[in-house]
Amino acid sequence: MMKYFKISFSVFFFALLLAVTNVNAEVHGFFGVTVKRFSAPYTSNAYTKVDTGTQFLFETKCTDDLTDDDRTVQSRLYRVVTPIYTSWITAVKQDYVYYNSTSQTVTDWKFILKSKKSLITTATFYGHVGY
Amino acid sequence: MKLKINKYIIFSFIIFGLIIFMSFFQYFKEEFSYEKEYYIIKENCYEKKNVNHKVCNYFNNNDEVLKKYIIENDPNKKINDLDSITLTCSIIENTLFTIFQYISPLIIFIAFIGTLQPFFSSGIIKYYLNRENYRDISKRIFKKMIIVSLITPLSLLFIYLLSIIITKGNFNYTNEVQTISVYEPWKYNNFIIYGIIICISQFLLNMSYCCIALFSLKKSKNSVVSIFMSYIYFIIVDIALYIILYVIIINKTLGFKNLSDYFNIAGYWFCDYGIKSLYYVLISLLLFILLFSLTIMLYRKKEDVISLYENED
Repeated sequence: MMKYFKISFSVFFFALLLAVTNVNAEVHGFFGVTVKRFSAPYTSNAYTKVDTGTQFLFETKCTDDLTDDDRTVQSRLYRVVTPIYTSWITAVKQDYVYYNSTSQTVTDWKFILKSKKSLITTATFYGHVGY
Repeated sequence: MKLKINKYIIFSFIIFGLIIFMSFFQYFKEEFSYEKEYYIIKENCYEKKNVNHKVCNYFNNNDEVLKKYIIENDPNKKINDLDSITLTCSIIENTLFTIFQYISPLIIFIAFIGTLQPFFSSGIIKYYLNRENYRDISKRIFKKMIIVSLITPLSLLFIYLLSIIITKGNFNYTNEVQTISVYEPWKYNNFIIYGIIICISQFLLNMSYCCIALFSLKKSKNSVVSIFMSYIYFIIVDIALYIILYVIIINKTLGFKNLSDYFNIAGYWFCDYGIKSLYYVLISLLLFILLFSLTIMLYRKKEDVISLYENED
């Protein structure tokens, strides 16, 4: 747990560094998010995107709560104003995966996450969305 | 003894058909949810008819980003580029259709029990057992199992055919497809083989569910009770396979990791492990052999089946 908190904190620090050196970057962390049973989606509160740039998802880790197996999760973004959905993408552990270019618009978004397979156990996700 | 295709099997196909059409509707509604706004942005912001329109604020006056957005998200181009495999996989994996992961066994139970229950509950089965060859009756029941078990593979085939019609037979996928969740190289390059593997797995699982239904039919004359009991047995089998066999024995005791998808039989609707999807066929075949053997043991003796219905009288 501590190891993944450190990784996520490092990412925040990196984003802060970029921001200080006048490179626009913003990161919204999703730590300890419960991936629900039976592929039920998790929807975050809205966050405000302040700059253009295609959004990406970085998965630090996502493991099954019972078996500790890596859990494959899918994500998409939902735009709050004049609702639209981006296409579903599959999160890749320790890698950046980009949402499609409809995620560029500067407005409020919600992060949606679900298990790719319908399982009877929950999982826990650590990662962040940025641009 | 004639077992006709009855209203329960037709009802099952109708339910699948309804959900499939709703799933296609959901897919296009969500994928093209931005379409109306796209044309507003194009007209006002890109073609500069009214740069003060509120939607132009979405791009922070960045013409490069706006141009990229207009080019990459053209709805006409997107619909023309849509290929049959992406549409098929998206429907099966990301729409309302996914409810069948835990609902399809119930549909199978309704179809199978609905067909056989009238013979068992009315007692006419005793008449046939006394007058006809038991092997012939068993063969007819087995044929009915096969027909019912084809419901889910046929629904998958129907989705595929409908996708081909909608995309006008386009099997060429663009580079953008490689970024979406349903894409997996082996699946896309060997889609027919992949489809056959999934259909065979579904068929064998449905045959297993029919065996479970036969257990329930022996316990109760009431069709609703039989269907309910069958679903409980399915849940027990699902939990036994996943929790007992995989979690406790294989994962915790033997230490093998990352195999949960293979032991989750409800999820045998799609697979992203390439040729390893053949394990779905193996596990569903083993499950069918086990349950079918138990069914044969349960219904082996005609005299036992006759006396069961005589006692229930």
